Amino acid sequence: MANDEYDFLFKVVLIGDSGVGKSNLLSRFTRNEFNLDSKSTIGVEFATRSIQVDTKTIKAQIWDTAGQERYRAITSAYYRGAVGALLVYDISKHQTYENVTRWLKELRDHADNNIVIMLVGNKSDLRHLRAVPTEEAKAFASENHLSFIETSALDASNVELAFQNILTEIYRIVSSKALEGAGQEPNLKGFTLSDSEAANKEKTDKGCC
Amino acid sequence: MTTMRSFAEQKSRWDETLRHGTAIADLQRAVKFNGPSSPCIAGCRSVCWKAFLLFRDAPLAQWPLILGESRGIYDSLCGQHLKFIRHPELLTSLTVDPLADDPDSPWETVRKDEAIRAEILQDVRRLPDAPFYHQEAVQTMILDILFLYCKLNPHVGGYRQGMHELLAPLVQVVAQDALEHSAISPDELHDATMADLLDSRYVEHDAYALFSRLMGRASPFYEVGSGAQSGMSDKNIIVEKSKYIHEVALMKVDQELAEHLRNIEVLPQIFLIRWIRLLFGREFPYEQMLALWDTIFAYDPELDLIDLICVAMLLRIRWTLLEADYSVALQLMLKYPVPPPPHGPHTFVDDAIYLRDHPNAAGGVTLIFKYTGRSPTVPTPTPTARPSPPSFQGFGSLRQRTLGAKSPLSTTAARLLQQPGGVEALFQGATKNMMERGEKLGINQAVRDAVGEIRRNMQGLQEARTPARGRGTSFNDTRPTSISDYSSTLATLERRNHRLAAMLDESVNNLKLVATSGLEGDANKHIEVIEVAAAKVQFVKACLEDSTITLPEEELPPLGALSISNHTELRSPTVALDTTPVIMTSAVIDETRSALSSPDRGAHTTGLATLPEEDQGDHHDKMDTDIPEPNTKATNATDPLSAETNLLTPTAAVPGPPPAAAPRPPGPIPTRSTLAQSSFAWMLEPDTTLSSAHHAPTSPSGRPSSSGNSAQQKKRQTASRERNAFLFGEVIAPEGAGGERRPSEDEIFGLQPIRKPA
Repeated sequence: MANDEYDFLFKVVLIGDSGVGKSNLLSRFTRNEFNLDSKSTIGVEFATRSIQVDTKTIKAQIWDTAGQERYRAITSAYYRGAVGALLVYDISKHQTYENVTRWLKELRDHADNNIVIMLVGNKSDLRHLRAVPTEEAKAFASENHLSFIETSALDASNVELAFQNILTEIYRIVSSKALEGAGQEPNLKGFTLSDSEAANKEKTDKGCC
Repeated sequence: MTTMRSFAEQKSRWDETLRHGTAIADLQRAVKFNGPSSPCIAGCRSVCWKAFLLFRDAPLAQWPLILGESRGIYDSLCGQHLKFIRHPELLTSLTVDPLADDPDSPWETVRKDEAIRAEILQDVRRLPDAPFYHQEAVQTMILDILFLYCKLNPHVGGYRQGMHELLAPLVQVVAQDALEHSAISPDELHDATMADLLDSRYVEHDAYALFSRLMGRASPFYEVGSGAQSGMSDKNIIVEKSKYIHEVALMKVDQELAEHLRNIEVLPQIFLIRWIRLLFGREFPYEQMLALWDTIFAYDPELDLIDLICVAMLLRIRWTLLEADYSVALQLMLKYPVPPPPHGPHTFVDDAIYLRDHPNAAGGVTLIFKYTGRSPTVPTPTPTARPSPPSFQGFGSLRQRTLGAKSPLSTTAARLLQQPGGVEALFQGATKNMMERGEKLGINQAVRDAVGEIRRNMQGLQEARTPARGRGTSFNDTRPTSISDYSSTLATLERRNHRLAAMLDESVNNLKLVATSGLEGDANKHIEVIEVAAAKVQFVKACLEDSTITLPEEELPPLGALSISNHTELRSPTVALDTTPVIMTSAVIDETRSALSSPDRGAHTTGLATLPEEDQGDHHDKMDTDIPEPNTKATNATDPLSAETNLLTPTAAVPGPPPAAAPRPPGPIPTRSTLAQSSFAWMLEPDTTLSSAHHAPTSPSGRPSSSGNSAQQKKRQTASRERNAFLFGEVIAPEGAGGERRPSEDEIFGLQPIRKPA
């Protein structure tokens, strides 16, 4: 691949119900494309893009899977090594928001404990069809120590920001832990976010609409 | 895409279809080459598919009966399951309370059904772009078929994403051939069978029949195992199938590729799940995909060849895959390169059939050569369970890789030396026997004890022996006839080989004499004989390695040859590969290795690898000088332990892109090793000194700093990356000469693989 130099490689997974726009978030972020009739994802898709944070190049390896893959033919392969997750729902379909709890459980069951999770309300362009109030989702995110943002893959609003934010957050954690742990063998515990830290980050870190 | 064709066109297509005969074998044959005259292309594809999937051996006269039956069944199913959905007004006429808390109430059933249909419809709306799929009537048809299938096959576990794309082409193909019944005037209607088979009123029925038939074999690909809801295990059919394809089917025909995929930790189900569930529907352009299905339905309606079709696809891109890291490999397999004509996707079925009949390395080589013009050396079907040290396998494949990818000359050699499996096996058998006999007679023991130096010469013997054994099979036997340009070169080589063989003959005879003597008598004399033989062998080896060495006209100067050989060994390693035939496999090497005590592998490798040994030394130097405290304490990169310490710092950064052209030898056989490869690696700062400097600005937004010194920072950064990149290479490939193995991206970055407490 061209431009293959990077300082960090972060695997980020997209999860959420079928049809909430995961694939379009991915294509918007990695190729700046949006396809109204995008095909349903079968199995796994995968794309990369590098961004700069401070002076570091961070390569994001973003995985996208079928919403129905909660039937987990590939669950463990999918979550394996993921350091970030965008949990996507559709602001115009309340059911997809209700299912967020199920996806959180799935993350708890399969992903690393320290995975950075961002709740993403997608399709924010569908204002007239909004079924999930922003404040409600924001409050839910706060309770669960998740970052939160609303995006529209269609009009591109906040997509860049969402990925920038989660990648930066991961980067901050990684680099601060690496500093703390200098000289001693780092371990996974070092990566644990304390609750206050997470909550704090959320307040200062996230732009949302 | 038009939905229907004119009657006249359909009539001529119908005739064209039946022109080949209506017996299944006739149709199969007609489809085989997928040319423009294939009845699936020039005729009615739907008729062929129905014949392959539904009619099979039934004679033409029975076709309408078979369809009549399945159409009748479908009608009654619709009446049963779609009654209220198609006619919701009937519900209200029922004397049932819509709000009654009765799970068997038709209201409740309809509510559940509507939920199922909504889930299906969401995917049907997202069918591929073709306008046909986006007609309302077509979408409803697809929805109804899927819905009925799911109702009737609860064991499958309901609708699964992907089924819609398996069904959609069936509907399209049947619809395209359909004839509006009313449009056919009675006097035009000569052929009742045609009118019946293509009746547009039964597009849905017939598509359902085809889909059911297909799913009879394909539904396991969608099953999720017993633990669909609660179980967290990946133990389901598609995952097991993927594993089988990778670890068994591919391993048999292309061990090197299978091991490479394992080394870079590509899990096969990641890409195979889509390949298989959609029957390759997303992997190729639509028309080519239909042609592939033509061939699959014709020859493999039971879908037994799917595994081998996947293997054939992997073989077709094996050279690229071998050079790919995790991310590149995955992208390649998720966006499979369209195979250029005339070897379109349908030829994967031919390949699969070939592999079914030749489930071995030779079969793999044949296909690889056929499509890429390059052939790997046949990896070893290791004859016995002798312990073969990992490093040696690495060496074996290093050699194969070099042979496969080097100079044009080596490509030529690979072509010329391509051996049919039988001959190959014969050679291997011969080696084995010879070595075993040698061992029994104690000859190897004698060599080991008496002359340590000779060990390396025996290595030479292994290589040099090859052409001697090859005498029976001249190059003419194995040469692809198409290559005529090289025949004169070949003839020269042949003569040369015969002479070399003759030289070897003598040595072999002398050695045999020593062996039969039981080592009685003057030990020194025996040693001398062995030494002389070894020297001759060494000379032959040198000649084989470097075809520019002219042979002496008479007998050979034994001792002088040694220095030549050492010299050439270092100087022109690639030429050696050109003249050393395919037989130089790791089996042979393993034989040698187990027969002799561990030889000096470093020296040996140097002779073959492109990286001279001195390089390694250079690397050490660099590390000493470049890496600041505390890294300097661990400079011996070949020591795994110190390597680990060393890697505490610079792991997250990854070296630049791999050299595109040079084949990268595989790393040592996977061992869970250094920290750099561990799942912690991603947490590690690329460079401590730099990182601490940059940590002051911790603006949460993470905007890239736009300060004036960024250019400078960038420069330093690049420098640090290079250094890190360099370090990686050293540590991960401790053998040095074995080349650098870049850790797969997955290794670099990931957290620990997720482990669930059971």
